[in-house]
Amino acid sequence: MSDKSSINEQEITAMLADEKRREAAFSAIIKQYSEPLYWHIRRMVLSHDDANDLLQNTFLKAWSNIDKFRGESQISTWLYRIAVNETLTFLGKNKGETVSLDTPEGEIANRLESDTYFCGDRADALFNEAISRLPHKQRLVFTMKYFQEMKYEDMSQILDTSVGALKASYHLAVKKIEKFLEEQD
Amino acid sequence: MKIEDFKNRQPFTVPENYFEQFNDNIMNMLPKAAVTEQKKHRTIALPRITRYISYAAMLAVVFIIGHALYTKHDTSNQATAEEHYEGEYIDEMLNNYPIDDYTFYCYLTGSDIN
Repeated sequence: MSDKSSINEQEITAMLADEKRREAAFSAIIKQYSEPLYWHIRRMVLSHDDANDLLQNTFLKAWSNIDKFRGESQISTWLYRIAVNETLTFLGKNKGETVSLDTPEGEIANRLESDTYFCGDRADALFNEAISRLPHKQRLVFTMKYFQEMKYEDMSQILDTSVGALKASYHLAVKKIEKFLEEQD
Repeated sequence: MKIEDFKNRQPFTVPENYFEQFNDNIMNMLPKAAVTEQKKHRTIALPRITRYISYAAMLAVVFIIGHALYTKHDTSNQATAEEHYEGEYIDEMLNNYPIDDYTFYCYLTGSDIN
């Protein structure tokens, strides 16, 4: 994650520690991370409104806990952790575009196609339905690896899971998605 | 459909200028959130005290009015009862006792009958 970052971690951390420069530092953090965090959340919850709420909560929570950030982990890792927790809590409460075993195949795809902020075709809708049918943590691993091409080591820090377990989880997720897509052909 | 086909596709969109506006909005929300927090404490603390004072005042008023009404009611009841009792007692005495008007007058004035 550090290679993608254009802000100077050390400088930002020093600015965060200084009350007078804290707001400017946080503004730089928002500019840097709002977009990748948004897409990470959006892939998980599918709806723009839900993603927007969760992204806001992520930054507001980060701001309220800014004193606790000591620079021991990277800013991106810290933010992703908050975003992941917010998203998993949201999904755990059965909010948004959640899928149960009883949800008929194609229903999520139909909902997506009628969404104002979805411009994909049927195949895109079905692919996202396949992802949304994965267990929450598997969906998280798949999204981070497949779309964001995150390193397993970085994911391990964010999700507090071993690299081996993450690899197995990703492999399983791919198999499930492939099976779902095959059934739709 | 193969899983690799979707790697570089972006079927999701956002409202126009969403990220620019989001960055500005969230920065505006930060100080507001702090002020709201302070205001919250103030607005919670003040009405609570005011509410307790008003409850106490209401109780005091109810108690005073209740006490005044009860005392008045009790006194008037007692007076009526006494008046009623006195009148009834005298009537009974006049009706049942062998006493004439002159003797009764003497009794009332305290003068000697003879």
